[in-house]
Parts: sequence; structure tokens; C-alpha cells
Amino acid sequence: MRFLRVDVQHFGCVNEAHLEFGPGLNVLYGPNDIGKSTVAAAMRSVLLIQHTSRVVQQYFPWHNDEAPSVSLVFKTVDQRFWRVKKRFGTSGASTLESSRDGRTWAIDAKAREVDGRLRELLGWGIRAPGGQGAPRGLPDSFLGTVLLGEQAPVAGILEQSLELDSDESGKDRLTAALQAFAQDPMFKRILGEAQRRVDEAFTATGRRKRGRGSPFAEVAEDVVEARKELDNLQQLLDSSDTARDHLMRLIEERKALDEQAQAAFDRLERRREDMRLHAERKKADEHLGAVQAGLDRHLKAHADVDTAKQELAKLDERIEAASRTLDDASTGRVAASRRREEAEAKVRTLQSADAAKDRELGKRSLEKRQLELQGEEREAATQLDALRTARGVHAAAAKARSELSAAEIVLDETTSKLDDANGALEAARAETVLLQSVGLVAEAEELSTKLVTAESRAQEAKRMRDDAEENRLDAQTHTSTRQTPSRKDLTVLQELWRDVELAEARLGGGVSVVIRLGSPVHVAAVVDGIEQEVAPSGPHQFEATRTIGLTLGDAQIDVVAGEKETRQKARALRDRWDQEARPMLAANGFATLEELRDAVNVAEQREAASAQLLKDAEALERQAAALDPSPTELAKWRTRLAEVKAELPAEVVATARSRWTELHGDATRLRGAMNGAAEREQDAQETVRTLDVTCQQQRETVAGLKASLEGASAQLAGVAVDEPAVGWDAEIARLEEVAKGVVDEADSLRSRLERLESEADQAVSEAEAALVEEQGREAEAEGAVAEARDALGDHRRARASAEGELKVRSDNLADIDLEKDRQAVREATAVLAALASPERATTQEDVDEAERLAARARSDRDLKSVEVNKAKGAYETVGGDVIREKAGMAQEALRLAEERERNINVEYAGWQLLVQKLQDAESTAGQHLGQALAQPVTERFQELTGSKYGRLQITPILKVEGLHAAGALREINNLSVGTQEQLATLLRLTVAHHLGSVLVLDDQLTQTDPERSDWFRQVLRKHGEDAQLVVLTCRPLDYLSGSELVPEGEVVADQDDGLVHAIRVGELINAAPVSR
Amino acid sequence: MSDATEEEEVALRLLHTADWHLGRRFVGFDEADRPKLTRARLAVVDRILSVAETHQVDAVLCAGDLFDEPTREYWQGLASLLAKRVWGNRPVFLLPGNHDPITPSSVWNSSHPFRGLLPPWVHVIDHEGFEYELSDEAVLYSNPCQSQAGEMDLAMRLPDREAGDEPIRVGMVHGSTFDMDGHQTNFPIKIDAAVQRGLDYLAIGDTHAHRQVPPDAPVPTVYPSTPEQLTFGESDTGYVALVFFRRHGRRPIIRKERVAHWTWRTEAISDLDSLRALRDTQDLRSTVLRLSVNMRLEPKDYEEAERILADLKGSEARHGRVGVLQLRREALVLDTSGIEAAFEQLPEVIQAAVRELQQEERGENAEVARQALYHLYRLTRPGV
Repeated sequence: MRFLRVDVQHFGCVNEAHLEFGPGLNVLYGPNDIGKSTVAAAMRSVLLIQHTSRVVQQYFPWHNDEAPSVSLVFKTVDQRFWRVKKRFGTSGASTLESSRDGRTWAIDAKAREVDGRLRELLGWGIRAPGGQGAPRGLPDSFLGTVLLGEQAPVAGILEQSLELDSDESGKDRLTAALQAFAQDPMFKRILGEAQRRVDEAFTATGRRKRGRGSPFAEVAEDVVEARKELDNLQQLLDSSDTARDHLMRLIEERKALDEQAQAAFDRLERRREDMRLHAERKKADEHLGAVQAGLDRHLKAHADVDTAKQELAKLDERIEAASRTLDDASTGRVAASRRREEAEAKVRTLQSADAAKDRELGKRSLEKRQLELQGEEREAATQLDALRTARGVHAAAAKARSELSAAEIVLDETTSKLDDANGALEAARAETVLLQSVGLVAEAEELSTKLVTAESRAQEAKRMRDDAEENRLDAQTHTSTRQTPSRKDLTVLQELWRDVELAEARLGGGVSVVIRLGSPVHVAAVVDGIEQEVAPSGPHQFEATRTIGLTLGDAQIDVVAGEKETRQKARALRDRWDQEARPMLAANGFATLEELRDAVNVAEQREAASAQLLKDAEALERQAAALDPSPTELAKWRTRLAEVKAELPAEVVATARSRWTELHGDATRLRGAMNGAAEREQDAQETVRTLDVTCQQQRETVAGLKASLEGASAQLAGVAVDEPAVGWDAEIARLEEVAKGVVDEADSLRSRLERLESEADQAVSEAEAALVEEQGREAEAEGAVAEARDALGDHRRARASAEGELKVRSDNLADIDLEKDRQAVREATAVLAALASPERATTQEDVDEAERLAARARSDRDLKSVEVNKAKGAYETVGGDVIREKAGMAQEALRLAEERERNINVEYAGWQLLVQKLQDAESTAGQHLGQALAQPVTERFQELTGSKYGRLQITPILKVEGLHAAGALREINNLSVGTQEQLATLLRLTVAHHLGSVLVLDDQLTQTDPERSDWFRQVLRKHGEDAQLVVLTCRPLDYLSGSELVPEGEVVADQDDGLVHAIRVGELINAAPVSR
Repeated sequence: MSDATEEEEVALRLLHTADWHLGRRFVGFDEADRPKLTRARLAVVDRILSVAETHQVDAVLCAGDLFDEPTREYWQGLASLLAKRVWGNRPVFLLPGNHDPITPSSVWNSSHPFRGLLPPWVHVIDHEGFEYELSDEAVLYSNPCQSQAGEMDLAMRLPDREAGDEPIRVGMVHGSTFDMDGHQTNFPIKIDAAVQRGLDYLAIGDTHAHRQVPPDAPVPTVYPSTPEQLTFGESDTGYVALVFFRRHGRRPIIRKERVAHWTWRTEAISDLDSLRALRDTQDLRSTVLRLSVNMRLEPKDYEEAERILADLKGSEARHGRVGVLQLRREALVLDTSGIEAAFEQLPEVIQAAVRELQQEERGENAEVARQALYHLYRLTRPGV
């Protein structure tokens, strides 16, 4: 899209303005407060604001009551012409006309429809007015801000994004233009359908809809209803179950009471039966007892006879045993008499003279053996002493030899260590000497280097002084070129020229000149400052707003419109310009004010460069002075170098240099090496001293041990005992054993001698005691014979008595019939067995108690029956199985409703999730939109800034996040204001370039330095070749060269086949006067 | 025996029905299906009356639980059905059961408008000890339920046969013959009550299946079944009992007569072929079908399954192939393991969304993610 023409009336400070635009770069320039920005606002308003909007109230004229009106003609990419006209205010109107040729217009939309149609045509992300969510007032939109942004804040676009767009048209246009991700039609359809389903169920904020028509509402209502019904039925069922349970419990209890009553009656019957059975059994039992007693008596009589017979047999056996005992006692008495006689004979033998003689002979033999043993004991003791002494001497000699040998080994080792220590000491001393030489070599090299460096710095200082001198000469050259008016003079001239322009711009009212020539003459005309083509033949008619300059042959005619005062003022200013400014320009060789301005700029730059050269010269001199070496110092270094070379022994120079090289020429390392060598020498000296002392001590020890060995050897020679073959210890042990055996035998002989006496006395005593014992046994045997004889007599008397008693009892058995007695017992037993046994012993009191319990149980059961009947009534009034069945159905209904609800929930949650994921995917893909825009902007920005900054980062919704610099993302507001406005301008240019759309830049780049301004000038010019650019500025030379400015007396100038279109708007905008 | 002779031999013809449950709401079904099932209960009563006419029965015995929700629509509907018949010599006996016991506020109460709409040959058993001479040779004895629950045996409260009492004795009560002895809380009926009371036939209602209790009893005690099934899981339903008493021989002949419109079925389908066969090969227009679908299907098959199920179910605009479908589809699972292949030819942005959803499917939100994948799959199919 590009603008063709705008006409503004009564809009803010602009009474009237009529501007036409070229297809490329349009630079609308003029001084401040002339209404440039108001014209830009008028173009914005006619495109974006409804004529009824209150926003436009700010643009109502300051000095009259006219309604603001704007007409804008523009052309879209389909080569169609559009003209939008709006008169703002409550009685305003809007029309949109279209045309294929720009001449014949047809109404396309009127009134309210105009803005919807316009927004559709623009595609800037602004929803048509009227609907929900449509913007009111001046709508926010990314493209609206980018393409038609207001003057300030210039960098505000960097905070803008697609977020505030009220529809997707802007994004769609950008994605298409930037060839970034574009919504695939299928994707769009799917997302739209899914969103439609989500919208059925969820609010815009993602909450579930609960009202009528919500898919959740109906099923939720079903669930609530089903749950309510179930709850009601459940309560009824609970009541029913409670009543039923109560009834069942009572029935159970009654059943238990029934059983208890029945048991009580049963017990009563059993007690009564027990009573009867007990009486019958008692009678039968008594009869059985009587017959059993008779039988027992008769059986006992038979048993007594048998017992008497057995007693008689036993007495016969006792008589026989007593006879045998008497015989045994008589035999014992005879044996005892014989043993007593033998004991008497033994006593007599022991007390005889032969026995005493035998004892004396034994004693003497023992005493002789005792003397032999004493001699053997002494000999063994002597041998033992000799052996022990010899063993001690041998041991001392061996020890002395061993110690001497060990001491000699230690001495050898110490001597060897001493030799090593002496060697190390020598090496350390040699290293120290070498390192001292290295030190000298190092010092010599350092001194040599210093001297070389000093010479080099002296040369550098000389060069710097030369450079400084050259700078001074250059500076003098710069300042000695032609004299240029000062900046102050330039400013005065610029203000004067601005006044001239303003005064001339205020001329107006229109003028028309008709020339009818009598004879041919050359005619030329300049209308409102614009040269006109003039046909060769007349008549000629010229119409202008302000001025017409005519050349008729040699004659020059100036026609000026406007009121007298205005004309006079303009004339006066023009005269003043001619009188004051032109001579000055001519005197300095400048044709135009711009040339003068350029010259002033150049002169200022030269002065600045000259000052910088002088400043640099001073700095160089200061550096040279700092570099100059001190002569005293140099002499000192040279003297010392000679001394060092003298000190350095010639034979070690090569080795020392080699070592210095190994140390990498590092003095620190050399000092370390020297310290190490000194430490090693000191350590070696200390070791030698220590080992010397140790060696001396060990030599003394060896001498002492040798003396000890000699003493022991002499002592060994005095001992005439060789070491036994079994060894000293074994032989001594053997002799000690022999001596002990001799002592033991001597002790044994002494005991036997003492025992020989006492044994003779003891044998006599024992024989006498045996005699007494045998005499006692003989008396006991005689007693036993007498006792046996008495017992035999007793048994024979007892037998006679028992035989008499047996005869009497046998006679009594004749009257007894045992079989008859047994039959009587069997019969009585059978009678008793046939009778039933009572369950328990029962008394009349037991029977009475059972009767009482039975009566109480019956009473309890009857009371319970009353309770049961009441509970039945209660149960019958509630639901029972009917309610249970209904509750079951309600449960199923609830389950199904909940399932339906769950299915609905899942279904719509699925739609919601789908929309979310589709949007996420689109957003991720949409990052290309941000990247697509960021890339060209970054490239241009890097070109502008010399790649000082890295990549620009822009989000998918085109929000500028920051700029990469020094390895991190930097916020835009960290940049200087100038750099921010440059970045913002580049972003706007890039967007407009890709869209092929007009871009309006209202006083941008005001904070930009001249160098970057030059760069931008080229960029804008290049941009104008592809797309329309409308620049409104009070600094035209930021965008145009001096030659491209509108010539004096004209208002418009085209260059490059119209691609550069300069408009001096002062002539075209009729601004209202500003007064207090 | 010839028909004429047989006819002469029949002393009494009865139609015995019970458990109509008029007004049952069928809340377990979709809203659209509920009226079909509720209205069917009134429709079947009309067929029952027609069967009575066809067989020229002497009386119609309705043994309780005739109303489930005695709303005006249904008692008026019943009264209309009865009133349009001209049955002066064919009495109809309506017995209150435990679902619709006679209480002061019930439809059976003599002051209720329902009673006023009934023709004179319709008799409500509205008091204990009801007796009615069906003919010279037959008497009906009946006792109504007067509460929703009770432990009394209404059959045993019928009068005993007295010595020399010759006519056919028919009893009618409502209750259960199945409760354990000593635990009778739901109008129990002793299993030999008919014998003990000297009856020739005991007409009972409560259990919804057709049954003689016990099958070989000397005197029949019969549940005729509910004439239209009420829920899944019931069996042997949809009948009335036609009872023919002969002049000679006490034991009557009993014949099941089907009157139901709906057949209730439960099907479990676990493969697509079976589902196709169900759709293609069976006439299910009079079927109440509980269909459990247990399948894990790839998107294409899943889509077909959805189409078939929609075909079976029908919509507001089109009748389903199944009369009434109760669908249990919790176990119908979309197998998304290879679903990405279905999106291969689509724009990358859609494929990116698919990958995100598949990632989501591996987390806690699996079911919703699967649903979203299916939505997306459906939206990307041609013609959608």
C-alpha cells in the first residue's frame, strides 16, 4: 500500500493541508510547529479511528468550531485506488470510495461500515468495530504502530508486540510477508473446530461453563438428581433395614426365649422323674445288700478252713528248717575251736630267740650299703663342679668373640658412610662454585640486555619526538587553510533563513496570472517555487497559492499573494537575507546556506582533528621522556659488566652458560639452585662431622672387646675340661641325675633300717590280737547251737495247736450252700440293673425350684411376643424390599450418570488439551516469525554498528526481548537513546519493506550522530526504491543532500525519477497561528 | 378328545398376570430410551387384555405390583385400557402388592379417582378376606398387601376348605415363596400353603420369572412372570399364565402365553468382526441390548467401531438398529501406539501437536491425552 494524497482541514493546528506523495522516499520538511506531526496524526486518524470516536476530540481546531476532516487517497497492491474521507465529530461522516484509475470513484462503504472495510483492507490486526472485543478509540496494533507510529517515544515500537492485536490479520500478513510459518488451512480448520468445541464447554478464562447449553450442566444435573434420589432412598432403606434388623433381632430373642421356656419345662419334668427313680432304686439296692452279706459270710468260713491248713503246712516247714540250723551251729563251733588253737601256736613262735638273730643280720647289711653310697655322692658332686666351671669359661669366650665381630661390622659400615659423606661434600662445594659462575653469567647477560634495551628506547624516543614535531606541523597546516565563518555565524544565518521560509510560507490566498503576449518572447514560470513547463504559444495562465515568478524575455516579474503585512514581512526578511546573508556567503565562496553549513562542519572537524594531533604530540613527547635512559645508569651498567666478565673464570664459562640455559635464564631458579647447593654443602659437612665422631666411638668399642676376648681365651686355657660330646648342659643334667639317685638310695636305706625294728614288735602284737579274736568266735558258735535248739522246740508246740483248730472249722462247713447264696445275689443285681438311673440326685426343693423357673420363662416369652408384634407394625410402614429394589435402581442410575459425566469431562478435557497442544505447536513453529524478523534487522544493525552487537532476539509474538552482546542477552533499554531509535527505525523499515507498505517516520533519528545519519540516508534511499517512505522532519539534510532540497521558491522537488520526493511543507500546510 | 368335548370339560378359564410395574422410570437408560420402556408397560397390558379376549377367559387375575410409580398418566392410562373393553361377564381382579400396597393414599383407596374410572367388572381387592364367586363352580379368595413389607403369610390367612366344600377354590395373594423359614419378612408364602388351605390354584405375584412353586406340587402355586422385562439379568419373563380347570380332576392345566414386545439381552463384544456381525446379521429392533465393548483398536478400526456403535444407537434424526441400547464402552480403548503414522502427510505443526499429546499420554493425563488424539485424528480425516 502507498499513499497518494492527503487533504486535511481543521485538524488540530492545521487549518488546511494538501500533500501529494511520491512512490519512494518522501521527505516532508519544515521547521518545528508547522504541523507535520499533525498531518501524520490526520493520516492515522482517517485510517484507524471511527469518525464518532472521542479520541479525535484532541484534534478539534484550536481557533474555530469546524469539524476536522481528512481525505486520504491510497493505492493497494492490487493496483486499486481508495479514497477515504472522514469528517470527525458527532455530526461527522465517513465514506470509502474505490477506483480503478484514480479518477472515477465509486462508493465502497459508508458510515460505520467504512472502518470495518478499511481494517479489512489494511490487515493490520485490528478487528472490525462493533463486535465484542473490538477495540475502541485508537486501536492498538503492532502494524499500526510500526507503520504509522507517533513521533514519540521513537523506540516505543521495541515494546510493542502482536499481543494487543485484536485479530489475527496482522500476524497472518507478517507471517506471509516474512515467509515464516503460516497457518496451514487444515491446521486452521482443526484449531477452529477444536476451539469451537472448547468454547461450548469452557469460558474464555478456561473455566467450565455452568449455564444453560453447557454440556457439563445437563449431565451434572443428572448426577445431582440421581445422587439426591439415591440419598433419599438410602435413608428410607436405612430406616427399613433398621426396622427389619430390630424385628429380626426381636424374633431371634423370642425364639431364644421359646427355647429357654421349653428347656425350663423339660428340666421340671426331669426333676420329677428323678424323684421317682430314686425311690425304686433305693429299695432294690437294700435287698441286694442283704443277700450279698449272707454270701460273703459263707464264703469267709470256707476261706478260714483253707487258711488253717496252709498255716499247718508252714509250721512243718519251720520245724525242718530249725533242725538244719542246729546242725550247722554244731559244725561252726568245732571249726572255731581249731582256729583258736592255731593262733595260740603262732604267738608262741614269734616270741622265740631265732627270730631276734635274723633281724640283727639284716640290719648290718643295710648299714654297709649306706657307707658305699656316701662315697658315690661326693664323687658326683666334684664332677658337677668341674663341668659347670668349664661351661662358664667357654660361654664368656664365645660372647666376647661375637660382640667383637658385630662391633667390627658396624665400624666398617660407619667408615663407608663417612667416605660417602666426604664425596657428597666435595660435590656440593663444586656445585656452589659452578652456580656462582652461573650467577655471573646471568648478571652479564642481564646487563647486556639492559644496555641493548636502553639503546632501543633511546631510538624510540627520538622517533616519537619526530612524530610529535610532525603532528605540530600538521596542526599548523589545518589551521592555516581558508577562514570559514563560525558556527555562531551559521546559526544566525540559519535562523534568518528559517524566518524567511516561515514568512514566505505564510503568504497565501492564491494568485492567478494570465499572460497574453503580443509578440513571441521567451516565457518561464516558477509557481509556488516549482518550475513550470511553459508552452511556446500563449495565452499562459499560472495559478499559485503563494508566488509566481515570471520571466518574459529580459523582464523578471514576481507575483506574490497574501495580505500586505505578510508580504511586507516576507519581503523585508528576503531583503535582509539578500543584504546580510548573501554577501557573507559570496564572500566566503559559498553558493548556499547548506554549503556554508557543510563547510562549517568540515572546519569544525578539522579544528577538532588539529587539536587532537597536538594533544597526541604532547603525549608522544611525554612517552619519549619516559623512555630516555639515564647516562649515569648506563655507565654504571657498563662498569659492572666489565667486572663480571673479569670475575668469571674462563674454563667454566661454557658450563655455566649451559647451566644458565638449563635454568631457562631464570634468576629465581638460579637463586633456588644456589640455595639448594649451599644447603646440600652444609648438610654434607654436618654428616661428615657426625660420622667422624661415631667412627671414633666404634673404634674404641672394638678395642675394648678385643681385650675382653683375650682375657677369656687365657681363662679357657686354664680349664682342662673339653666340651662333652652331648654338650655341656646334657652332661651336667646326667651327672645331677646320678647324684640324685645316690641320695635317694641312701634315704631308702635309712628308712629300711628304722622299719626293721618296728616290724618285729608289730608281728607279735598282731598274733596276740588274732588269738583273742578266735577265742571270741568260738564262744559265739556255742551260743548259736543253744538258740537253734530252743527254736526247734517252739515250732513243734505251735504245730500241735494249729492241728486242733483246723479240725473244729472243718466240722462247721457242713451246713453251708454257697450256690444258693450266689443265685440270690444275681437275682437282686438284675432287678437293680433293670431300674433307670435318675439324671441327678433330686430333692423336692429341686422340683419346686424347677417349677418356678418354668413359669418365669413362659412369662418372658409372652412379653417378647408383644414386642415382636410392635416391631412388625413398624417394619410394615417402611419400604422393605421395595425400597431396596428402588435404591438398587437409583444406584445404577447414579453410576450411569456419573459415567456419562466422566465421559463428557474426558471428551471436553480432550478438546481443551488438543487446543492447548495445537496452540503450543503453533507457538513453537511461530518462533520463526520472530526469528524471520530478527534476522534482517540484526544484519542491518550489525552493519550500522560495526558488529558491535550480536543477534536481536524477538519472540513469536514479535516482542523484542533484547540484544545479544558480550555473551549475554542485554535489555534494549541498556542501549543509548540514539542506538535504541536506530534499532527501532531499522525494525520498522524491515517490516515495511517486507510488507511493501508505506512507512511514516515522524522525526526519527534525532539522536543519531552524523556518521550513522549518512548510513541511514543511504538505507532510506534504498528502501524508497522498493516501498514508499514518508519522512517528516525539521532536519532535511539528515535525509537529503543539499542539492535534493526543494529549490528556492518551490515546494516540491523530485530526484531519481521521482523516487526521492522532497516537500517543503511550509508552503503546503496552512497552520493556525499560535497565540497566548 | 374332540374340541367340543374338551370345551365341555373346561369348567373355568383364567388369565393370571402380575408385576406390571406401571410407571417404572428406567433411570439407568438414556433419556431418549426411557419413554420407550415406560410406555411399553402400558402397551403390554393392552395385549394381555386382548389375550384374555382371544382365549375367552372367565376372569383376569392381576396378582399385585401393578404400579411402580402410580402417577396420573399411568392410572388414567390403565383405566382407559380397561374401560374400552366391554367385559360385563369377565371380571378383572386387581390385587395390591408390596410395591403398590393399599393404603389410605394409594390408588386402590375407594376415594381415589382411579377407582371412579374403573368399569364395574373391574374389582380391586381392597380388603382382607376378599371372596368372589367366579361361577357356580368356582370361588376366588384373596388378601391384599397393606404395606410395603410384612411378615405375615397372606396365603395362610385365606380360609381353609371346609368339609364338603366342593367348588373350585382359587387363591390370589402377593408375596415370596423363597424366604427361609423363621426369616419371613416379605409377605412369605408357605410352599404348601395351597395344599394347607385346600385350594385348587394359588395365583401369586412378586417374582418376575415364570415359575411353579414347587414344579411338581399337587396344587399349582404359580408366578406368571412380569409381562415386560424390567431389568437385565431377569429370565423367563414376558408371559401371562392361562389356567384351565377341568370338570373332572382337580389339577388345572397351565399354559405360558408370551405377551412381551421387548427382548432383553446382554452382549459382550471383544472384536470388531463380532461388532460388524451384530450390526449386519440381527434384527434388534425389539431388543433392549446391554452391549459391553471390550476392545483396543487402532484409530481406523476405532473409528469404524464408533460408526457401528452410532449406527446401532441411532440419533435424534435416525432410528438405531437396536430398539434400546445401553452401551458400556469403558473398555473400548483407542490404541494410539502407532497413531503418528496417520498424521505423516499432514503439516509439521499438527505432527508436533501429536508428539506432544503422545508425550502427555505417557503421564498421569493419559486418558484425556488419548481422547485429544482421537479428536485430532477425527478432525484430520477426509470429509470431517
